[in-house]
Amino acid sequence: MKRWVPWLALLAVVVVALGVLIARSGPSDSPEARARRLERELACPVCTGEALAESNAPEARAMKTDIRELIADGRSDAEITQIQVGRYGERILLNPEDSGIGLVAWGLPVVVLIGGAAGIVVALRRWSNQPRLTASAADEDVVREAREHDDA
Amino acid sequence: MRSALGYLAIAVGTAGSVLGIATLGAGLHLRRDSLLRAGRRYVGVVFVAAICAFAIMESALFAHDFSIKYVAGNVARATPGLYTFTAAWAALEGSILLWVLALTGYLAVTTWHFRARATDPLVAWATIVALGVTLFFFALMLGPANPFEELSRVPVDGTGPNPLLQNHPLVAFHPPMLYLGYVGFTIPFSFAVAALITGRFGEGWLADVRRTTLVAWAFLTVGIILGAWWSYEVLGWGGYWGWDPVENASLLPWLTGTAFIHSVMVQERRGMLRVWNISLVLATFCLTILGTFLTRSGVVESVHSFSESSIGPWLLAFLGVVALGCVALISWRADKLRSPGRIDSPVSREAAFLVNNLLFAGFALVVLTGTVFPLLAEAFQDRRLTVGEPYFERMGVPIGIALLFFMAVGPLLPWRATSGDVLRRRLLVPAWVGAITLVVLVVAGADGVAQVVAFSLGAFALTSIGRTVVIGIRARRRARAESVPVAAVRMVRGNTRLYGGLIVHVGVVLVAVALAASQGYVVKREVTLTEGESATVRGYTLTYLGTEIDRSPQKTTVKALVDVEGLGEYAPAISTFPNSRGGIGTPSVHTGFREDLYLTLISSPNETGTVTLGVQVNPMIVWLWIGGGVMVLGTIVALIPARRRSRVPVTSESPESPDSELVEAVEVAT
Amino acid sequence: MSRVRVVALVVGAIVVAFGVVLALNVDSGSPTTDGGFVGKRPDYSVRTLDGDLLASDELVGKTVVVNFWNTWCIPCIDEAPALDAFYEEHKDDPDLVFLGVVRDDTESAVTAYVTEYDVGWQIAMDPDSRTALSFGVTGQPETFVVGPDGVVAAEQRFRVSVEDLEAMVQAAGGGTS
Repeated sequence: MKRWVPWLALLAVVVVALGVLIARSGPSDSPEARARRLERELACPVCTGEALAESNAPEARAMKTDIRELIADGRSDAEITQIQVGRYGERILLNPEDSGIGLVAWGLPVVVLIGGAAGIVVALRRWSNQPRLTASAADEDVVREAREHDDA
Repeated sequence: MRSALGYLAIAVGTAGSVLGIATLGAGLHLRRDSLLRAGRRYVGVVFVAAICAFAIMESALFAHDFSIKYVAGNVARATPGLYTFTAAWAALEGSILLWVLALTGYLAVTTWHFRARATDPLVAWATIVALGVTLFFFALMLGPANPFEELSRVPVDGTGPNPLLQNHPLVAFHPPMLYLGYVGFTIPFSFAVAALITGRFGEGWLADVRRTTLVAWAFLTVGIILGAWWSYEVLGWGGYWGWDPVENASLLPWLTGTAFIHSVMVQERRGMLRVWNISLVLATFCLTILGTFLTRSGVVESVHSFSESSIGPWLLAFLGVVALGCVALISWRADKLRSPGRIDSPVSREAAFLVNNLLFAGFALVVLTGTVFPLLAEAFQDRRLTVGEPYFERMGVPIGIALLFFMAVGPLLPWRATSGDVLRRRLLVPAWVGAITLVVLVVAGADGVAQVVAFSLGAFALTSIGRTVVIGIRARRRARAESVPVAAVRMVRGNTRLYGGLIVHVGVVLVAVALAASQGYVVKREVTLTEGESATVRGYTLTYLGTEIDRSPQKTTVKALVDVEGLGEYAPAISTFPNSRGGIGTPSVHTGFREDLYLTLISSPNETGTVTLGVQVNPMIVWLWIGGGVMVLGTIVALIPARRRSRVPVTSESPESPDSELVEAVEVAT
Repeated sequence: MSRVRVVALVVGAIVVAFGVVLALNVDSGSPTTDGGFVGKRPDYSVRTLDGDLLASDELVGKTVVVNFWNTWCIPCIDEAPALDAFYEEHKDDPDLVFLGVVRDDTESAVTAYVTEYDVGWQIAMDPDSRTALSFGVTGQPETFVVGPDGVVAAEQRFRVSVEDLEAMVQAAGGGTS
């Protein structure tokens, strides 16, 4: 039991520190933080796949200003997103949706990773349950005879 | 004239590939050694043909031979020399030419390297497969992607390269490095297929391809890092990776290639994971072809897309044949592919590598899903969707963190099985260093879970690497009287694979830290200034001094001169090129070890003389480039042949052994 | 069946499915007859180099092939023989009008080009890009076929071949071969 103490102490320290970190790092709800977050989740309307946050095109800057005005107006993140989609279509969203075909995008890698991990666990367990090779009595006899033969 | 000569070179290359395949095939079928030897000569023929075709293209570019469509579309009379040279790979047909040059080059080197084994069926089959790939790409240039196609009307001047491709000398390095990476994986692929065909999928083919795999991987790494650097220093949007489909196309084979490099160690040691290893190599090659298809077929929108062409269906057909062929081969040999041996313990290096494989494959699946998802949506629901950074980050960062953890722990785990004592001795101190780093950062007020965890795991990994090195040096010095530097060098030379790998891991830690810091803690502002006015951002005081305009036949550049207090004058700019709309921004960057100051010109001075500047402070970006360099350095070290002393087999450890450190050092060294 | 074989066959099925998805998305390079600007009614009025006035409302009842081009774009030069061949074939057709609209070029360069290469069909300049705007044009070469009803029947936003042009005119239901 004593051998586990340093490991348990390590685990405790890490868990506590992580807990504090996670509590502190929650997404901020300030207007500026919300604007930044939306800028990263919406695409620039005239670029190829660039996020709003990364683009300096005139249309992109206009959209960034628009988002900030809508936030100041008291609209929610979801409402603002819907307004932009209404103007430019679904391609303005950089995230696949949470339902329907979007589930394939979010779900497939997760399913495969969990499935793979499960497969590894099963394989390891099966290997460790296989009996290790042990010498039978007949094998021991053969070896003893050979040794005696050598010594003689 | 040139057009005819160039086309002739391509025809010779095609014919040479066909004849080479036929001769080698006949030699294998009839078991005639003379044919096998003769067949190899065709490798030289196709290599020379590729060189000639490339040289003719360059001569056409420099001579401004606008009767050739490719030349007219990619150089203009005003194009500077360097960009005339790089125009050879600026557009689709030229890029295929560069691909073929790299492929035949690799094949020529490989054929020469295996000259003593010319009659070995494994080598012969591998050559046939590689020639088959060569044949495909040469044939593409005979038909849909002919770089020497002529124009019926000769224009007076060409359009010149795309402005983005004549903005920075990096265009001379980034594509060729990438191609040397992609194309290099054809050789391990050919040997893997040969191994399946001949039934010799033990460890032999692995040893044969080890060097080429490392070289190809190094080039691909350099190519990707250079691409990130280009994006950052040249494109001016402030970032280095956009999850653009073409960027992802280069990342996919890198991920499976890295998994392969690690996983082979298990097969070498224990003969296990044969199916995994063969699959990883086959997948890596398929992914390079998929990447080629995605970038050249126009199925995905990308800033990198090559222009319209009919090459898409051909690439897709080739990809289909290759992929299904690989599946068929594995299915055919399925019974014999079962590896002997088994993993003895979940806490062993073999198990860690197995998890490693899963994580890399998972990461590759994330990147592939994100890239291809818009195609799925379009095909089945007729909707135009985009997948951008938020998806890749949310899915990829947890996998990256897991990989960092295993990178720290894996090299310390013994093979086969271990005891709690050994684990404690090896892992406890580095783990505590990681934990203390975590605590210190949290106490210091840092936020951002992924970033802080990445830094802590980085400290963990560096400590475990440091520990291995220190123990190795100490063991050497106990055995003979050497100074520390000499012991270090000799130790490395004794096992270049291990220490080269550890150096690469150090590079990875640097890259991970740079990625975490620059993504999590970047600061972006915009300032509008009139001449003489100043603004302060994060402690940097900027004063707008005025504008300068440079005109040359190639382009017109508007520069905003900005004085940064204490650091000098910087000049972000916007350039406009004739024959194309829109301006190309050029950032002006001050690079420091702690952070970069990144200035861009958002809008040129207007009538009132005010200018809008983008100001970005990017923490620790320079470590991304340094880390990349360290990774390449480590790979070079790993390629140096090791000077081995006599092997001392140690497979387990008992508490009674007199000097457990010495034992560990010996185990690590063998 | 061994486990490896099962996995291999499953992977094979996935590869085939994946290939189908990709194949559905590959652009075969033929003209578009739905989507883009097809179905829209362009409104334009141009003056040709010869001084004639061509306006969209006056051309109703005829099939109009509108080709946006200039003298320095390489794909335009590349498709020129196809345009020549098509025009030769159809120049006597009273219900077919062939119009080339120049984007982003100077009149002197265009006049010189027309003279040197003996371009037979009507060419008009578009200095303020109004005509390009009415078709939603963003580059060149782009070719549109407007049916007798005044609505775009087919478009191709890159260079055309003779077969492409024939197919586009067929889609408009106008012209005789």
